[in-house]
Amino acid sequence: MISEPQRLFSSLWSSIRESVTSALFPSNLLHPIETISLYIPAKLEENVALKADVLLKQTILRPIMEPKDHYQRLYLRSLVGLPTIPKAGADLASVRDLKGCISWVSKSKIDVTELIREIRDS
Amino acid sequence: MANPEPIIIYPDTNILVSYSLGEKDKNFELAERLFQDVENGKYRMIISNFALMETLHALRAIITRIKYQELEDRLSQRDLIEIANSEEFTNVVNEESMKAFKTIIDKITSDSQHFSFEPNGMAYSGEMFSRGLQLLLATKGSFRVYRFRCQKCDSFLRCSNCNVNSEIVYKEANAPDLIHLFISELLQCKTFFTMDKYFASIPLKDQRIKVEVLAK
Repeated sequence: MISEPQRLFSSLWSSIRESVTSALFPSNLLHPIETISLYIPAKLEENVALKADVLLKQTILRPIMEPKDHYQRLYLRSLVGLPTIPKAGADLASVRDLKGCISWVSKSKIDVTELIREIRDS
Repeated sequence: MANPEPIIIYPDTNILVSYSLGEKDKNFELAERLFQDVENGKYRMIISNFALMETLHALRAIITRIKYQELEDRLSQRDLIEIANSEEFTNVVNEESMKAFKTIIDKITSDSQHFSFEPNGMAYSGEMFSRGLQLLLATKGSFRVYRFRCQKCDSFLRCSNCNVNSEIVYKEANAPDLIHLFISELLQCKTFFTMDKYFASIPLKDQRIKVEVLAK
């Protein structure tokens, strides 16, 4: 059971809260934004959304890539100090670009399989 | 007709590093053929954190060996200790291996069409290690005889004390190999690709995953 003073306090508090809310957030606050959005072409809106983040774009366009995979990419890139957004157009060429991308480490031929075997055996 | 979905495969660390090294690796053509299939959409690679850890360690080991080979001849042990402890040597190895690692990460994380990644926070069951122990208990391995070699110039050597020029070495798939295999199973890969011939001797009875050893 709510006592009379509690009821009075609750109703007083509710009217204070309502007046403060209406003063800070008038009901027409979002009106200008809603009006502007009516005039933004759908194409522009789409482009802004797609260009906001190249990786996000890939998530949207490729249903094969799950959100977890997307976050893991971001995580790995930030872990090694790479920008989270790869170079524009890097996507399709990357598997090809990976070929010999670190060949500069050695002047002569090496046997990586043997070396990794040594590491695993040591 | 739509192309079939790519088969999810797990590349062993040696394949990832070999392809990144290009012609500088002795077995590069094997890795290249597999990557062509990835590019053509036959396969999609899933890269584990364990493989990335090993990649970084392998790069550090490769660059350390290369920097050692590039040093002048006739250096004493004292000279080598001084070099190994120097800030310059440490910085060169760390910076070059990190640059190489970053390059690989950049390429594979930019390509959402051909590469996937192990999800963060993946839980590994202790059963994995128990299975690994059972597998190792069921193997006997093999013994190989290797001639001593100079790591700097690759010439054959002879021990000045025992007067032998070779050693007997135990060879077998090891704990890290099995961990890779079990991770690939957990990631639901269809095939595990490696260039390490010792994988062929792992007695996988239940065949949850197909192991393919790429060889010339």
